[in-house]
Amino acid sequence: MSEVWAKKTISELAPLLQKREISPVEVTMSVFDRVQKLNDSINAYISINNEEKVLEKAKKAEKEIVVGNYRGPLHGIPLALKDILYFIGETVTMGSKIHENFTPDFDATVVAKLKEAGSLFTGKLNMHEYAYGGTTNNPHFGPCRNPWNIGRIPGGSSGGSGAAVAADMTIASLGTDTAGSIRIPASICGIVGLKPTHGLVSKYGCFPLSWSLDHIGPMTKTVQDAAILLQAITGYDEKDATSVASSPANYVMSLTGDIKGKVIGIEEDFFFNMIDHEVDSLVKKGIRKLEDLGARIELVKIPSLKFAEFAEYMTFMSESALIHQNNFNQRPEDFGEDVRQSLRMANNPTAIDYLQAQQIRRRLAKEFTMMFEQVDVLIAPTLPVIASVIGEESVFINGQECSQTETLIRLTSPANLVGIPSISIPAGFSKGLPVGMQIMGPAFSEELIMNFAFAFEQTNPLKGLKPVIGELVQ
Amino acid sequence: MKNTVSNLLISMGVDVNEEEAILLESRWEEIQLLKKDLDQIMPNPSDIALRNVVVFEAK
Repeated sequence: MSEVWAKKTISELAPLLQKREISPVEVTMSVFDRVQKLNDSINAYISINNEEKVLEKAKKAEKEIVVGNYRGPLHGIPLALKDILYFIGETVTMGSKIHENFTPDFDATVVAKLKEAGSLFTGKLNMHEYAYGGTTNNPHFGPCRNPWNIGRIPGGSSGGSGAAVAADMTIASLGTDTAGSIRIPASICGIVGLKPTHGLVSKYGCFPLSWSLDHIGPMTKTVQDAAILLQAITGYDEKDATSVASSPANYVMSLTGDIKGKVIGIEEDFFFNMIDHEVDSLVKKGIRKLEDLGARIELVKIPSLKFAEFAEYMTFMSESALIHQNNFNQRPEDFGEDVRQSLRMANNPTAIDYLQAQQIRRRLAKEFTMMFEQVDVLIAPTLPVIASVIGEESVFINGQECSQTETLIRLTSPANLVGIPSISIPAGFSKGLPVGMQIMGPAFSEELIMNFAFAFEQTNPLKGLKPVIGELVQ
Repeated sequence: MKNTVSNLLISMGVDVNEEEAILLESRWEEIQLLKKDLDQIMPNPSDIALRNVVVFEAK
């Protein structure tokens, strides 16, 4: 079976499926062929669904389309989601040993929405155990590998999603993001990853890491695909206590590429501090391209970013300690070593630490709001570095050794703290590995930030290059 | 009384060997340093903006 369909995007496949020029069966078989060929090298899938059963559903989707019952751009499209989103009657592991046989009796809201939209599912994607890390070096299911260099991490915690999308092992995916876990793998794997506004997408049926910081969002090959997926999964959900009723939006129609007259904010003290020289250079080059397209730049200050790291740690440590309390007390040996260590640390914040963190968040939110009165978007590197070698715990930034975990979440976590949307898009390559740029906007400005991302995407920052799977570059 | 990381974990019944204890203490001190000078930018108690609103579900 030709792999050509697996390499397409949702927006390329949808009109062909609607006009019946290709069948969901062909597309699904193409994806499965790619998965069978590459999963031993990449380990993006924790579990691969039974191909025969998925093809039966593909045939059913085809029949629906043939009789004129076309549901929309996701009808007949094979997807694979991070193994943290509940599917009724199917095993969902959260990348853990403790939940290795967990079978939920309901669908996550986002899963139900995608099923209603006619999507098919080829399997469940690898992740950092309980989303509690940024490398997807999973001790129970094996490390996921970066398709651009299989000796390197794909990022995390949604590393399987990042790798699978980059390697065309799925047409698109959903990930989750608590301190950057959609945007980190998106940056490292050279794909698009969107963390929406907190509350825009229901988290019902998603295993939590930290309630007030968790988000679900699309991970895709293109900005247009991210818009299509976002359109399908947003909406108020009374089953999610943090769900927000938002005004209807048409994310796909908003992608005009016109950013003339818009103002880009650049905050240098935090977002451009301690950044690898090549990453810094690439992102600034990207911003200049947006200037060439008609936007203008303004420097801004957000003083409370100085305390963002403390606020992020105190919040997710406290919330995750409660979430995992029973299992950590009863069976700590069943966690992977790194998560077990993290949970030991997570029991330390006091109530005062947690409350100080919330005070910082309020102050940050106020500063971001005031900043967005001056500028339309804030642009920064997604990460200070490129992908590190699997198994390393520290990274080097311009010769200085730094903790990998802190480095990975440093620039992404502010958007989680204040709940604003942030999209990571490829900005180019450094030493053969992708570099990402993030575009942040005010709450519920997904149309705006995606339009900026779309405008930049048209400049072809990756020059059409795709990973050559199996290369191990030292 | 300073509640060290190790003391806290031991009180919870969690085993911690000496090497782990040193690492955990060191890491916790690094994290606490991240809030250095916090009281200089927030000298007065700031609201954490948690609203106490009970929403009753319709039956």
